[in-house]
Amino acid sequence: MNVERPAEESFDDCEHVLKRVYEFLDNEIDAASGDAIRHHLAMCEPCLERFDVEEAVKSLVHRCCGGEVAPSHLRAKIVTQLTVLRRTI
Amino acid sequence: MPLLLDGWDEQWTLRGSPLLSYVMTKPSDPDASGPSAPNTDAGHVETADERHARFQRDALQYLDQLYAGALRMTRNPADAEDIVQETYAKAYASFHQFTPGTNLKAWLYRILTNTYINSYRKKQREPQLSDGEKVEDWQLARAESHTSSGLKSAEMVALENLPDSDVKEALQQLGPDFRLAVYLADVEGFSYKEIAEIMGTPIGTVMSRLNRGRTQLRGLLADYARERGVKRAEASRT
Repeated sequence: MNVERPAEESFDDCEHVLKRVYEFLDNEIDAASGDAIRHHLAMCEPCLERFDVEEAVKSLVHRCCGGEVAPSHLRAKIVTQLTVLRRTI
Repeated sequence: MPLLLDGWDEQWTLRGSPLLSYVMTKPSDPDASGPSAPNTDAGHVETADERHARFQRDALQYLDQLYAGALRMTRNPADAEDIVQETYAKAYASFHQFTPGTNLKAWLYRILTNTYINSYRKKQREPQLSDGEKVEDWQLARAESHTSSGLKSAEMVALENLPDSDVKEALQQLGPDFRLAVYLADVEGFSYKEIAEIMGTPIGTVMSRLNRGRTQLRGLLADYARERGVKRAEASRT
């Protein structure tokens, strides 16, 4: 993501940092803004705490909400279907 | 069998299919190196048999991931199987339009998402995706109240110890748009641009869905963590 932002964008106030906490967490932020946010987090405990929570939630979702394996009958059905389609298309 | 493909071409064209010109944004992504070029030999045109083999080799490797994604969308195994099967039929039929070297997994996810939306529009069994925009305001308000995160450090510990089933259940409670955006970002690790392509929305919409989805999710998880904390405290007193 490269959204144009004013060069003088300041990360001094918490509200501004928290507004971009997800972009920061998702690696969707330019290097300079990322550095400014890291700098703010190092100085500001409430913001750091909030960041920790967001990071924890993201990694929980990553760990817990995927990983199902498709049933073998589904794979077999799809392979058969592709063979049929191969003849008709 | 051709029934499966009814309306597909029209719909695909109507939506302008940005995926046909899909350009990988993250060349370092290991998934990008998966699909191989259709013709290594400059003069060789791929035969139908070769394309069939390439589809089997490149597309089927994402079956488990698409199935898990479909489970998050439909919330039940039978419907998930149906839309995954339909997705593969559609993908096979339009595989000649896929640009080799671009992100095949994202391309398949786009077809899966469209298949899901269409199947639920037909069935009307769930609200349409756009209805998911409604956020429970009380939930937002509560999540933003007291401390900045609404969680104290003891609750953070409880949060990280939540069983998988709680986290899955919390995600399932989100509206379909929020659930899918969060899933694509956090489980699949797609970039905002890729999610925008998959969901057929501007990047700003992706960001607002992630924002609101995660806020809701955080509130739900905090509730679960608190409940479990209370139960543990009660158990230790008796």
